[in-house]
Amino acid sequence: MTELANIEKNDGSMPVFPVDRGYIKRKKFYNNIAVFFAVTAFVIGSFPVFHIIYEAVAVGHKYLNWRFISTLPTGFPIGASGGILNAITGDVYLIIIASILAVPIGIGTGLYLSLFGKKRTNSVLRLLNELMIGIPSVVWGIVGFYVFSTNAGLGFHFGFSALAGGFTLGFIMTPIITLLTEQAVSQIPAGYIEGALAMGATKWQATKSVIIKAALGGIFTGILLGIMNIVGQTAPLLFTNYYNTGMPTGVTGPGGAVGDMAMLIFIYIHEPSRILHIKAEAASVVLLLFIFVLDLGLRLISYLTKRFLS
Amino acid sequence: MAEQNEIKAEVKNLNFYYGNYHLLKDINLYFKKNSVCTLLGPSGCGKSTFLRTLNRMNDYTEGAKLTGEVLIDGKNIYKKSVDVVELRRNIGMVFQNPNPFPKSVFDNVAFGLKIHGIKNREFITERVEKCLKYAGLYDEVKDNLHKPAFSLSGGQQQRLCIARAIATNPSILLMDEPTAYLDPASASIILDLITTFKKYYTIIIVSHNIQQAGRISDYSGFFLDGELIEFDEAGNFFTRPKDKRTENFITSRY
Repeated sequence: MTELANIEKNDGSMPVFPVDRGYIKRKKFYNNIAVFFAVTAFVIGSFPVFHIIYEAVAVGHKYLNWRFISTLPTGFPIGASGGILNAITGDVYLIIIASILAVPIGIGTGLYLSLFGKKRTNSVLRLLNELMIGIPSVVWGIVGFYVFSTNAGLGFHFGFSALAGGFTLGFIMTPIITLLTEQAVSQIPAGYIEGALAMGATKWQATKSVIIKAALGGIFTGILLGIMNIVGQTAPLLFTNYYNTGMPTGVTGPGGAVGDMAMLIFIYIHEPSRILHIKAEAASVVLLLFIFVLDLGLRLISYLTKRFLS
Repeated sequence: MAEQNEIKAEVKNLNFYYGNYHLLKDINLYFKKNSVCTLLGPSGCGKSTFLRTLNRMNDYTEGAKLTGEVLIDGKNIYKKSVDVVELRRNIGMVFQNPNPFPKSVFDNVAFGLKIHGIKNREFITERVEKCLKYAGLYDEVKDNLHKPAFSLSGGQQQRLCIARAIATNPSILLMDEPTAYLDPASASIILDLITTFKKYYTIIIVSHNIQQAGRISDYSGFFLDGELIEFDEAGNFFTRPKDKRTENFITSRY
């Protein structure tokens, strides 16, 4: 600014740069308004999160101990004493079963969409994928019931079990992983892919050794979002797994059913029992911690895989 | 040198369409063995597209159509029986942006060997060192071979890409404006490399820098709006261009 001013003073041939003091003031004002709105939006948006955490901890804190997460529910009504171990192990089962279905199919579809398919078919597939994300989870529950629990669909006949519930949740998880994988891959510089292809790599070699590694962060975010989504689901489980107050005793049928955190909260909050209400609050704190630990764990896996692949 | 006169690659009646757009119009030219050929022209004249027809990189472009022949060592590379993977092993390519993979310096060069099924660790190590030496990069990176390639400077990255391209022992090197994004000192190193590389490779470079092209070329071609306006030995091309449009270009009137 000062340099320009000097030039203007020294050289009369330069047209004087018009300085609009009012505009400079106004643009700072607009900037402040924009910042104000961003901060307000953040505060309003994050308020529920902090409120939920505060409320859950304030009410449920007296059950937040090792015993609560390491014992099965007992007493009458069931859960009046004991912990929520059934729901924690059940969630682990469900996540593993859902991931077995969703991770390979989701990543595979995402890679197909971004690397292999034709443009026109891809735009249709992409739309279908987004539609899949929008399907209400209760509908997935009915689909899962038909396909996995009963004999009617493909003849799986898993009954009400972790297998039926997990695979149904896998359906919900798949399109999220697909979307994130595709976005991550399409953000990779074209030079990586071209560079590999120009050296005589096949598309799979380029994918395996260059693309997946570069897209790994995005793919893991997809898996994480998928898992976070399914641990909060109750509707699909109503039709395919329901709930188990103990540990599963079999693979299929009623014995194969597992407990689940979201179902546990849903059921406890409906019981006319103050103890169960408090336990439901405590369970939601555990659920949040569970997701937090999962997040850290997946980040660690992502970091380690990146190092391993290089 | 008798070899100098052998024709390495020849392009006959090449037409390239992108949808309804006629991008390359009836291109005919040849590349002599162990020579440097620069293809000049203003932006958007189709010279990069032409370069990419030589190793079939346009195969993946949807809506692209090609007629005519590209003969390398006398064989049409657009025949159905041609193996694209083997073709590209034989033709190294260096891009405008230095585009090393997100891997270590060593793994970048080793990549070309690994994708062609070479597993012998000793052979790979030896070959990586040799390629880095050829590309004039070895002394600068020998202590940091396992650092990520992105830690190198732009000029070093481009030389790494050259080392990577020659690792598979190609006979032709395609370069798409290899010095466009480099500072003059780095560009100069790469131009010197190209001059020494003539001994081993047939080099085809796309460029819009006339001074640089004049410094390294044996043959030069001028592209304008998808047509090859003029193709000649560099001596004639730069001093006595036959076409007025070529003259305008090399005296920088475009």
